[in-house]
Amino acid sequence: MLTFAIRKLIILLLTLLVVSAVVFVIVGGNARALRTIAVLELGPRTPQTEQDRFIQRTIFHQCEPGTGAEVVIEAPDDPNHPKGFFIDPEKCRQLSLAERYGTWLFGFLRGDWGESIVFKKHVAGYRGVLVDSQGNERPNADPWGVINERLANTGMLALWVFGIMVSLGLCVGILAGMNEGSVRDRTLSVVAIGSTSMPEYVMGILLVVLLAGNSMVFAALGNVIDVLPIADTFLGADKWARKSPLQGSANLDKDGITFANTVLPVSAVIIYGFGYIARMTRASMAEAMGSQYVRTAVLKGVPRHQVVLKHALRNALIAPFTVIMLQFPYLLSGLVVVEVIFSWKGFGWALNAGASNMDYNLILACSVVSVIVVLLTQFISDVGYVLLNPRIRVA
Amino acid sequence: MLANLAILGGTIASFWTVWATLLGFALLLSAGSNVINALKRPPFNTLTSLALILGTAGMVFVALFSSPKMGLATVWALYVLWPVFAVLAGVMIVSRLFKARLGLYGRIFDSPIGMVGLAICFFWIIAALMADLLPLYGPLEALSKNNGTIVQGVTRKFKLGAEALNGLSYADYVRLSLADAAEYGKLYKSNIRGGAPLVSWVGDEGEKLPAILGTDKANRDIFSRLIYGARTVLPLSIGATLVSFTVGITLGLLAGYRGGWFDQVITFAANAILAFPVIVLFYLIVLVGKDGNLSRILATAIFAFPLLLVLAGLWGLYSVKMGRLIAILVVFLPIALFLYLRNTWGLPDLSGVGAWVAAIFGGGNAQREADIAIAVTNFAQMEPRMLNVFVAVAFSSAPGAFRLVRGLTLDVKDRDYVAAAQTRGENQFYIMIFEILPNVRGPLMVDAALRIGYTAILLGTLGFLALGLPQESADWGSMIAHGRGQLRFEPQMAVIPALCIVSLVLGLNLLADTLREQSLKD
Repeated sequence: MLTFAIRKLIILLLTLLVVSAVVFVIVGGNARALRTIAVLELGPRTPQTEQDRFIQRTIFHQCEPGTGAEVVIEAPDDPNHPKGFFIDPEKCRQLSLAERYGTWLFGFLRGDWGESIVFKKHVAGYRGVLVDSQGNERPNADPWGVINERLANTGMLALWVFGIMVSLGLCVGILAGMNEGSVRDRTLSVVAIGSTSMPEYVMGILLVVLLAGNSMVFAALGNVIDVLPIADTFLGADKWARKSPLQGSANLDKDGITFANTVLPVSAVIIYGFGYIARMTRASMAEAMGSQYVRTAVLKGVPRHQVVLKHALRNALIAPFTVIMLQFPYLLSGLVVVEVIFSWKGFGWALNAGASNMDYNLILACSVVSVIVVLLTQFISDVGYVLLNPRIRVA
Repeated sequence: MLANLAILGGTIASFWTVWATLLGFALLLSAGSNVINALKRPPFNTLTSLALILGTAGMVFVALFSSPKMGLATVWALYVLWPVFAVLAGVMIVSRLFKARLGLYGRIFDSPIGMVGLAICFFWIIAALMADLLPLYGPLEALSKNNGTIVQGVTRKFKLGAEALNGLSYADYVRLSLADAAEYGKLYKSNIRGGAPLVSWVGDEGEKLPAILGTDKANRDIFSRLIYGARTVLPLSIGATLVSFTVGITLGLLAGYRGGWFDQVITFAANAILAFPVIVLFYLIVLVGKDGNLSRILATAIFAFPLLLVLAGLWGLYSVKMGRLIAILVVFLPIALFLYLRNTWGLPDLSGVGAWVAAIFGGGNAQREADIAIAVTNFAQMEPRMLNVFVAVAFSSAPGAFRLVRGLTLDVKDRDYVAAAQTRGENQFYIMIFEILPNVRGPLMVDAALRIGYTAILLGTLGFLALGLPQESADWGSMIAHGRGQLRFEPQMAVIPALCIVSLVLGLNLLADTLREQSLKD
């Protein structure tokens, strides 16, 4: 078991290395786009050297002493520069892509993930001093990096989604699989199929239209309630508000995570995701219910609820465990879309903002972080499967 | 704690508001003609659940269709699309009549769910094919004399900013819209064919259709763009799925049949690609890589596989009849290589030939010469931005297909018929492509149907996030993105394209489910 886990862990690290190298080549090999960004950020009339510095500060931020890259630690044409943060542009330009990858990886492992162009602060929490394009130091007022706070927001969203989606999917799957072919099974199966054909962006739009703010449903309800004779009795002078308590766009900085801004994004992801889990659970449950040991239990005279809960369910839950853990990449993708729709300022929102603006360090960090999350869930799924399933517990 | 409980309760409540409706449809579908009997059995025998279903369905229906706009739009849409429905009915009836002779396809008609799925898929295919014959505007055609949508009219008439409408109730809104529509009716009375003014009346003289669902920001008819959208979505999603399947089949057969280091390397690569969330992959390929040659490099790799698969198949069949093999290759290779190079690196460059052909056939007409030159230059070549998207989608779904084929091959390769072929001394490519592949076609077909739907969803995501697809493209995802800004005033701009995606994917999923069930019956 331990050797199996260690082997998986080694493969995980190898995958991570390869994937991060590929990401680095894709993003880092795109120097032309960076020049465009530099011009956009600094204005078209800034001299070439300044643009060079911008690019270097973005790309070569790791070229500090001790990182193995041979660089000159003095500002080339800026005598006022305090610390010599900048590096010799010529020397840095001579670094090959592989050497740059090395320095980037080294910086990444130390927690120095560079500065984000869009958010104007460090990608990960950074303890050092910030230097602007003029070479002036400014205090690092916000040491809490982009990724840290965004990931915390996304984590809360993912927690809600995952908790509700998994329990709902399992319940529906078990109910459907309990007696295969029944009306309940067929009905729930069609519901599950319907669920898998409603992507998050569709569900997000529909939920906003139907349920958020001055939504149609609440306004229409208001019209209906106003006409009803009971309206005066129950509602009195203050009539139906006509306004939904749910929000179509979240303002996390002001409100934090509240009921009003969480319900709709969470629902949007769940409605797309739970159907797949339900179908997998159903298949597994149906297989278990048709197996020899369940038939034996039934013939033995075990009560039905005990057959389902003790005999079938335990065995039927092994396969969905893997499925659920492997849902994680799709969950992450869905969260990105939902965060864009509901302007939920989380990880996916930051990735969208970063990628649309060629935010070099942010794209690198987001890609690698999401890959790390996915690989970890795959690792848990592999190891957990072996732990759960005694039949394949080898070695 | 209380807030957390509230989130839980609210999520479940909003969930059911939407799903109770679908549950009603699902019940009808699954129970077929036995719907009354089904209602007598649990869990639907309780009056409460029935009331819940009908109540929520009614609520959604009222919300969506109580406005005169949507009601009229539905009637108009049915009128415009009647040829599509006629052809669809013809296809379905003929297939139903001859279902005994049609094999697996015929057996889809045994299940009501399968028939619904098939009808939805056929509807979009027929609509895409017939789009030019329908009385529609072009997908990029800006309407000449448009009165604007109702909301624009209301804001203009009452000299309000768009924000001022926020305070209006739904009833106020409908009342204003009606008043406004009547105004337009008076103004354009001479042009009205049917009598009452419709949604927004377009056109200056003679018979013109109304913009059934209004127009978008660039004054293009949304309804026409929806139907033409099928022309973008269907070929892209079907094509990308087919290409990703050829990649998966080629590598999966090799890895599963041969095993060894090749298997390990390819499996590792597939797992590495699968470690990316799809969206991150899209951002990297489409957005970050668009300035470089990334998509061309990926296209070079991906488009090689259909070629390799056909070559391997030919080699498997004719490795002992060299003469025939060479004869086929002489015809096949130049065409295949031409298409391959055109769609990867744009080689050979046909712009010179285009100018030359234009000079000969243009007849001195500058416009015509330019048209001919462009047509020849772009001959057999995918538009670069489309290629970008195509490659990204195919690339991201290839590892899934690979894993499926590899697993099936491992399952099948020890069977007796494979051993028999090996004993006969058959070529290994022959065994892979003509012994193993046909025997795993059932699960592959089911997965292909599912994957086309999933690819359509991915395309929608790309359009929705404005990644890669041309801005003016008429695909449904881009239309949702365009309509998002007007969600409060013109919800149909985003909601109807969204429903189009859902219907297509739902149809494919129902079809896949039925195919799986029917092929399991063997």
